[in-house]
Amino acid sequence: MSLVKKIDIKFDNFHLLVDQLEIPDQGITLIQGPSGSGKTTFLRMLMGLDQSHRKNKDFEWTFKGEDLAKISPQNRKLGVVFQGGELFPHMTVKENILFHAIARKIPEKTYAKMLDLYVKIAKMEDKLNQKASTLSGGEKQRVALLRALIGQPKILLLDEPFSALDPVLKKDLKEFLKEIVKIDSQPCLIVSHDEKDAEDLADYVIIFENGKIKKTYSKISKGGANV
Amino acid sequence: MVKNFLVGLFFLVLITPYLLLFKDLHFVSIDLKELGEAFTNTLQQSFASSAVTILLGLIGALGLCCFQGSKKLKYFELLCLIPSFVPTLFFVTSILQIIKPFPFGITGIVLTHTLMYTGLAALFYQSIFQSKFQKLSELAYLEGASKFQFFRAVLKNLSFETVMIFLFLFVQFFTSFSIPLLVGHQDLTVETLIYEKIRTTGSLPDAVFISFLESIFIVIMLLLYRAQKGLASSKSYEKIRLLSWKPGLIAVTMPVALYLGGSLVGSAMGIKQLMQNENAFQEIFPLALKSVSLSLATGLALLTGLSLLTFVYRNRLFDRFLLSYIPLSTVLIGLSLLLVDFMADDIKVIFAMLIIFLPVLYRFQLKTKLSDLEGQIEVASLMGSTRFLTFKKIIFPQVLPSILFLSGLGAFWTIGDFAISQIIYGKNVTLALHIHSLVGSYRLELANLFVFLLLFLGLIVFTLFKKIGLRE
Repeated sequence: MSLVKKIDIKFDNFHLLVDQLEIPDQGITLIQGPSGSGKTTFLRMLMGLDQSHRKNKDFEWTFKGEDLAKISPQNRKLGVVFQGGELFPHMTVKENILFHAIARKIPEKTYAKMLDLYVKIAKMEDKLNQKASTLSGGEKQRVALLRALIGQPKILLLDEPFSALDPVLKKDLKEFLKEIVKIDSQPCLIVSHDEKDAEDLADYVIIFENGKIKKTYSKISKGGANV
Repeated sequence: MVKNFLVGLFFLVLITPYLLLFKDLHFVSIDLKELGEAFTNTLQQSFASSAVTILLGLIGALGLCCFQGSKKLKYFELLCLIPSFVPTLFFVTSILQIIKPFPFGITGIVLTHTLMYTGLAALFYQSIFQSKFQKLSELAYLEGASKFQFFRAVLKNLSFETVMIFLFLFVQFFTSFSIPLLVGHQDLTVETLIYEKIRTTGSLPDAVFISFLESIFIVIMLLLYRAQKGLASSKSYEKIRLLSWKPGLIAVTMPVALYLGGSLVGSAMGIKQLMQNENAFQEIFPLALKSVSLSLATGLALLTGLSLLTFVYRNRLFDRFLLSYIPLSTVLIGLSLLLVDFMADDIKVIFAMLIIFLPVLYRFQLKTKLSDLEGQIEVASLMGSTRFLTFKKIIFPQVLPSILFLSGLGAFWTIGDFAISQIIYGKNVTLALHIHSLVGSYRLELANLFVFLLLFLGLIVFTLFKKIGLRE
């Protein structure tokens, strides 16, 4: 389990308050809640992107014995995927994926093997030299996911990765995500507003409401604990 | 470390004119009558120019509204921008050819300002109509309001925007230098008075002191001004029926017609004169060469400057400084650099252009381009990418075409400059300066022909930069 402590962010009329929260360090954890409930702010806080981060000095995020909150966002070794994928449109699929590996200074031999494996699973062998800007929405999200994984992150953080996709692409990507997370034993934290994602994907669910954690539960013992 | 050094350097470059002027500031006893006259003239011409431009701009906007939602609007928008976009010298030489006798003095300044800025004012108003009155117009139309009734209601709700546009124009006209220099004749404005002090009487302390007074006035005006939001996109809107009035188009098309007509008439006559003077081309060849080399050098300096700005992007404080930076007027920048002894004149001109254009070009397009890359920069940073790697692989390749376009634009404006070069060089060393002296001696036809040549050279330089940007 990783432990998040003392998030206290106020802006406009919004207040996000998380005193203590345990997040499994394996499997897929889903953060759910209605719009404005604070789930994305929470995720951005974990990433170190939220501006309030610097003011929130007591914030802690202990992950496998290390306080990630005290490490700069660049060095937290996170794998991130945003709603739009945020691919680099001027680069090819291959260049996009390898960017993370190069930035993390992963040896070429290592990343070459990983690339082979990932593109096979993603069925994207014939798209490697295609410009990212020419990909479809579903393909973009796959590439974004592969790019996040190739950097060998401590944890994957995905912000609404399915919301821009149609139902068929959504189903495909979910299957792909499950498969790849299983192969790499990669812990994964997903923010989503869609309740169906909990059924399809999650091992563990955290529900936010009005800036507070309303409920957490494991899919195995559904019903869980109200916080 | 490198980033902080660059930020410091940019900051220093941009505030250099202020520092230089304040360093040399001494309280001197100046001719109050002369100063009072210059201030009165400047206030008069700025006020009249702003008022007439606003009135014609409003009428022009009604004309533009006829094409709301149509592809033709794009062409009309382009026409509106031409007079304020081309270097002053190009525009003035053309209208002098058509409007005869030209009313030199305050009236001439007002007339030129109005013709040059009516299109821009029309675009401001059209943008406000779109964002503020589109829905209201549909409702009023369905409720049976007449065009006149609706326009009256619109006018009542435009006061804040009108005051803001007025202030924007007023500051532009107050600090206008090249137009009063070309068509002001005996009517001195503050800017031309400073110029006179530098070039004619050689009294720099007087010039610096008047500059100081002018700067205070400009800063006060700018504090009152709140920048308008960018022009709204016209694609998704339907025609605003109740604000459409086709005759209004005359207000925005007439300045362009005068400009183009004047250019053609003048050039045709210029060719005749050129035939009679065989040595004319040989005379202007070194001047044209100097103009092109200055223009290219400025373009390259801007290319470097804009690229480095891209590297230091995401420094919030510096970004705010750049967005709110107000350069001194042309004559004041020229004057401040005149106080520097150790710099070659060519370098001074390029440096002045850099100070004037760098913040303008950054705000004009580069800032938006960089903002669009925010998500990618964030992701790259989370992937552990260093600033340099992000710059090299992500930011620079994507903004380079834009940087080259903007550098080309700066180079194009530089080739038409005679104001800064006039102050720094003090003699005819560029083609623009030569054209300026031709205008001064009423040889307008030849001036017009050379303007065409200058325009052609400027377009070549611009295209050169732009083409490099289009290559993969």
